[in-house]
Amino acid sequence: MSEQNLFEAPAGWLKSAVDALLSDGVEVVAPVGAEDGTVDLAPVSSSGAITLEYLNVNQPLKRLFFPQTEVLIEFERQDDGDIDVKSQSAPPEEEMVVFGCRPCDTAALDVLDKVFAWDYDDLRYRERRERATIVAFACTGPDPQCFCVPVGGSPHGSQGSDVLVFTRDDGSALLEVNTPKGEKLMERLGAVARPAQPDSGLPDVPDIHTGFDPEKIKLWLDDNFENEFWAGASLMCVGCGSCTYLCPTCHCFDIVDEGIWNRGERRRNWDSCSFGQFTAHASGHNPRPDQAARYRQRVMHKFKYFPERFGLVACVGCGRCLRACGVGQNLVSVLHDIEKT
Amino acid sequence: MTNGDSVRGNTALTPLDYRPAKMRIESITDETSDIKTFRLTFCDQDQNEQFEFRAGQFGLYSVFGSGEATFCIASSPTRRDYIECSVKRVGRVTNDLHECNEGDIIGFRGPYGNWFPLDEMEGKNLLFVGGGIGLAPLRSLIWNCLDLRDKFADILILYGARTVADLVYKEELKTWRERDDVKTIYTVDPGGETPDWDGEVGLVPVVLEKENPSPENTIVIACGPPIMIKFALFSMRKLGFPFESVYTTLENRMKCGVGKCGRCNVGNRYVCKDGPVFRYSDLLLLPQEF
Amino acid sequence: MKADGPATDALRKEAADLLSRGDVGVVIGYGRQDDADLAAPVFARNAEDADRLVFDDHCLGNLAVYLPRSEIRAMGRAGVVVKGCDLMAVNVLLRENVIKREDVVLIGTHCAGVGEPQLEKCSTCDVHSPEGCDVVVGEPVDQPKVDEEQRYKAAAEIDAMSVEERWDFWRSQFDKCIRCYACRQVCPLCYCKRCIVEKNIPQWVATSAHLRGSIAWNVVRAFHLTGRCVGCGECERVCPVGIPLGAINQKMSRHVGDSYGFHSGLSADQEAPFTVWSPDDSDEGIL
Repeated sequence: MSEQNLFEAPAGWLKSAVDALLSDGVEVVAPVGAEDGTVDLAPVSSSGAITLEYLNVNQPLKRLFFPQTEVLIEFERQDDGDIDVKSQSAPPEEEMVVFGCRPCDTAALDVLDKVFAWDYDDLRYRERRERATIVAFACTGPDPQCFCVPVGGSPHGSQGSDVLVFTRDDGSALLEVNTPKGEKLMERLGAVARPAQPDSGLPDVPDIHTGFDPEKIKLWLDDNFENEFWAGASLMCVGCGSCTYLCPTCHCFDIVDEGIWNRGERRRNWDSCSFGQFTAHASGHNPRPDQAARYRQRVMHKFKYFPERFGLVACVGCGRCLRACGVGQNLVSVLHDIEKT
Repeated sequence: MTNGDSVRGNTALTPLDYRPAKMRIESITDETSDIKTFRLTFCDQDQNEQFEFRAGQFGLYSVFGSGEATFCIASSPTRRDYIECSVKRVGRVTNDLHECNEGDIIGFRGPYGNWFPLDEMEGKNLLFVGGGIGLAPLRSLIWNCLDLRDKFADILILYGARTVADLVYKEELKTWRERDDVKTIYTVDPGGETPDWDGEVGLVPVVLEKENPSPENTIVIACGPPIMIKFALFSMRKLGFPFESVYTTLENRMKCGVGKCGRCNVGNRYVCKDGPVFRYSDLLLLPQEF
Repeated sequence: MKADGPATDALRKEAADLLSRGDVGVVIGYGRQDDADLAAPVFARNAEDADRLVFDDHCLGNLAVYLPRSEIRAMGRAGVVVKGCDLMAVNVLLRENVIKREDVVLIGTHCAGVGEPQLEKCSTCDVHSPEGCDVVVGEPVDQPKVDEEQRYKAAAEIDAMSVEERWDFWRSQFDKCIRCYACRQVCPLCYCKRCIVEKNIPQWVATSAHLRGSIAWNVVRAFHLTGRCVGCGECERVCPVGIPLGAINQKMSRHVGDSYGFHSGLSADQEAPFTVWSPDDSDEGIL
């Protein structure tokens, strides 16, 4: 890394950057608005499609590296009884630049990187990660559901992003380069941004009003696998997977075969520890027989098991689980209750 | 957890693309009305020569179009020409596996997971306690030990099933019984005996207590249905076996087999990586969620 | 309706009485958590808990979903707070013998409509005052006459499209589906112990979130609710990707209404069209 890691970009920089990358044949993924008002990351073919009006994208960044469904292998039965098995072709070779994700989502990549590359190196995940340069946008207006700070993040957190962008009210921006990949991108976008002085001044970090202490919570979790608390805390949970599927760190998956008699494919699909069938054996035995056990697993995994195993909390405080839950199950309230006991 | 990190004991990452190796079903043995044993060889001759595993490890076997399912490798690592797995018909993949014929091609990923502590077992008396299809992982280890018989002291195999018809590996049970360097006790649950049954009648834990083996210098390896394991452990405690010298295997549901899919964990342990073999004293420290 | 209004007072008193008399083991109602927009369920087990209950504009959910659950049944007889629309789902649970009338105490609430802005379904509600409850709290609400066309507006808008447009529309909607099954889990009438999508011998519905699988899933679910759905709209409300599931259910409800003159949930002793057979049945209604 060179010394220079701050760049100044004038209003309209994003349009110039995206257009330049598109004309170089780079795949650009950026926030795009849908008719129903939600904003999600999607490939764009022009800078005009991009919106900057969002608190956060509806679906988590993980989708780009760990899609909700993907083909692992294809197979076809041959006339001689042999079976032709093909690995699904590798992800595209060309580079991808992702604009507009938030610091919570990029911090979540740390969690996913750890899982997908310990002992066994998940090639599809790694190849997608390698080809992507991530330009995150620092948060300017977190909502009451945001809680990145207590889990070690920040609205200005640079964890996991190659470039972090601080946008000013006038549309100009300060770009902070965090990795060699980010450096390479800035070289490429030389005409778009010019080096800034180290004292250019970053905007103030917006406040996050929610607080709790994950270490204190872990201490309680250490001793309370068996506790009536779980039955009460999970009673309203109806057992859908929306919190897990919208969670940027949740990574559980299923592997299924689909096809017709002589050919088909093996797919990897998102799966959720909230589902009753998740751990059910074919024999009927289920180690997690009720929602209390399943909800406990979710909290334990994020705040105890994952920290013990990989050294970090598997929650980045994006608040999607709070916003998405149709019945009002609130992880932060549950954590507060744990803290109080 | 129990021993080493992986077969390779290495630090380098193993590339993972979920593509299974193709294996040919060489033969199929009917063990019981709903359990079959499949003998498999790799379609690729190089893989046949290179493949290594240790007793206790498992694989993901797949019927193309049905999906993958997890079973231990039931043959001994000392028999290098093939691997075997014993499969009970319980779900989609196992149903379709049972429909396969000799010569059919199936998929295999593995070996995965840890293994039985053969080093620790050297010089010790070995007590194998098995129930039902739980004899499958033990069978791999038993043959492994018998092929290296000099390295171990006394060997006692206690195996039981619900009925005589539910006993698996019937021919091998006979072979073991006929050997004079192994002691065998076979039992069936009360009511499960046939007129010509010459073994014990009684639940495995009860027979274990009656036999009253000495815990002295002994390693116990117990595999079977959870309920049998639970009561067998009560009996072992009664008989004075320290839980540090008792090993068992867990069979949580798995999809990836390599510590990613998040399904098989018990507390912070992945059964697919830190297991399936667990020292019982370690298992007691984990949440009882299996 | 305000949280500190007469409905809440009456509700708390009623629940406290039921619980302290031992008439019920739990009262399932709504409560307000911090300043969240959505009133979340409260499971009151004693008179003290009852003080956490509220009824106001934020009480969107349909609490009937909890009645069949084993955790709730284990608490004994259950009191449940129901708006008119929620009661219709309870009626179907009773009709389908999922719950017994004597096992529940129905605490109805007069309701002028919920949500800010008000939910679409409230504009065509004809059950502002639920009938058949053990007790009804709150102030009675005038029952405006409902325009039948308005009731099926969402479905009619889609029906107005050409076949190609409609197909494109639904494909683009189902393509968004992430298969989280929030629609199923929040639906009081999706009480199957094992959903068809979880049955894999054979695998009737692909579990993958590709278009083929998601069309199959959403259409099969609509079929399974045909003649049963009461239009509470919970599936659409909780869908994290905004699929207009209410429109499909409306379409099917209208179909059943037109073919059989049947509207699900109006009472617990209705004979549902697909569960009775009579020689006079016309074959025109076969879907």
